[in-house]
Amino acid sequence: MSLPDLDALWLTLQLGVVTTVLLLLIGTPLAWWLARTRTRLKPAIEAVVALPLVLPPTVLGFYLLLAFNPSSPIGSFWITLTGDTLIFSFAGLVIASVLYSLPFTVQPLQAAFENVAGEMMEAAASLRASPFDAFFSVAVPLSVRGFLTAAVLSFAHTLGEFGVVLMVGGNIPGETRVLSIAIYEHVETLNYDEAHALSLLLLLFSFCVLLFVYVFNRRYRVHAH
Amino acid sequence: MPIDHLEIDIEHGFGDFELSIAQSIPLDGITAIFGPSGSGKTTLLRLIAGFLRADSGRIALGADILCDTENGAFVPAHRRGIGYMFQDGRLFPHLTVEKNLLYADRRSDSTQTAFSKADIIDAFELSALLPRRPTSLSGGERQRLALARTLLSRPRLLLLDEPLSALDRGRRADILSLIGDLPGRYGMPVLYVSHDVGEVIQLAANTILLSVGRVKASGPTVPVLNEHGIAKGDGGIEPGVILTGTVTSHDEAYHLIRIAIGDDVISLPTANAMATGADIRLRIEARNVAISRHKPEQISIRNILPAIFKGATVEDNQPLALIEMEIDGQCLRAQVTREALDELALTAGERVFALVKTASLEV
Repeated sequence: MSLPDLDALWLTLQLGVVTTVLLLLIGTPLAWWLARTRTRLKPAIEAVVALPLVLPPTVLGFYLLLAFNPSSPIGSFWITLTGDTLIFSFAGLVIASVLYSLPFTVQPLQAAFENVAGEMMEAAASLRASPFDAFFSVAVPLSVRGFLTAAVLSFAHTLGEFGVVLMVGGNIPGETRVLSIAIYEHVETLNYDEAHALSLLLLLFSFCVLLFVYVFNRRYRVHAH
Repeated sequence: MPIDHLEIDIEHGFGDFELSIAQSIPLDGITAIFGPSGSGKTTLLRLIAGFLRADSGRIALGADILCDTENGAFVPAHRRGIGYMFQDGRLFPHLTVEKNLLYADRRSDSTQTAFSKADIIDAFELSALLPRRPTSLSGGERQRLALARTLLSRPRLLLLDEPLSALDRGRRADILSLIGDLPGRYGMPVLYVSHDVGEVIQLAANTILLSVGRVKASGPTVPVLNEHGIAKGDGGIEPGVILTGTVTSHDEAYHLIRIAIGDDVISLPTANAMATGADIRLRIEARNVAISRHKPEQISIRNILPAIFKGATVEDNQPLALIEMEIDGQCLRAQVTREALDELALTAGERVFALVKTASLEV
């Protein structure tokens, strides 16, 4: 594997880890709220969270491109905050990835929380556990499968994104040139051997991730009853 | 510090009807909340526990106001100090038996009660189960653990929501005796929700009879149930009575026990010996009682008791009539056809004989 390709691999892994960590931090409270809320807005919010599943990545990318533009409020705010532009930067890629992979975090977590939310939280409350206490002592341990599925799927989905990255990140080596972009470029330049190597790598990795999710879900089934 | 009353005055819509209850419940021993399925028993319990917020009204435990919709006061469930044992146990599947107990023990103030975690493990025979997971326990073991765990949260009031309904008949006896011990042994008042009249008669000194969201009667269990007949199982109310008597002897050859009801004796088949002198409650459904003007002879029914006819209730368009009699100062009811009642042409105060086919022991 060539040096630029190793750079792309390293950058991709960084993007995946940072995005997954951020997604778990944002997605956990959001999924918990969705699992427990009785607001009539719930379907609307669920639909918004699920949008990246059906939207062409280029649509999301297009809107993010507009929002990240230095002349837009978000883009200019970022510049005053960090002195750097969001567009064609690693930070911009992270924000785009978080939005793009949000349903892959929220949906498994919400399903896991809905399993335990009502009944087990009541049991904990009757034993004097505050909601905060009960969340960490009962809801989280009972949702381990949900957390693992969410983390693995979010990470894997982030590695696989292409359209959004191309729109907001472009192809800057060491900054925004991730694996999927590198493969595209190899194909464009008829560099099939390199394209093969990277493609096979992603293929095997994705298969292993999914295998892990399915095996784990089967073996460590935790029943509420 | 014992709390002597639970004051409830609430309206709460649920399902197709409204729960509307204004009741002061003395917290002394075990009080049953009794009624058919769908009468609002569990909803009432959940309102007391704080899992539900009443549409309007007020709930107070002693001087502690738990909920008052007028000024928006609401104490969340975890700060009420009220224990709740669920129908299905709701044990934490990710924790071992011991950690389930620890969960409650660690969050309660162990100086508040005379018992320790070790005492409870001992009394509930859980020591052999400690390392196991709740999912590997039998139904009876699960409910034993659930009750022990609730006790270890050292509540001021214990709410039990049909804790035996998930168990088969055979397993119920030992849980029942553990529950019966709660007020005396651990000084904890209990509200016990059930639709099983047998459990209620056995456990509860006082009963609140609930019907479609309203309190139909409340007070000492036997008079309340007698006045409103006996509810059977899940269905509606079936007329009958509860008699109190004393075991006088146990006939081992015929497997019968003799129970004195005043000067009269009732014989009942039984599998196990019973201590003579023990006070006992008998549940007798009206449909198992017949009435005769003369003492029948050469008949298989053994329990033929002299009684005084008091009167009969007849409803239009109903084939059956309900006869009320008195035996040794206690009320006995018989269900007969209206035709039979008319043929007998009894007058109030007349001497008759009550033929009791079967009775259930409430040990």
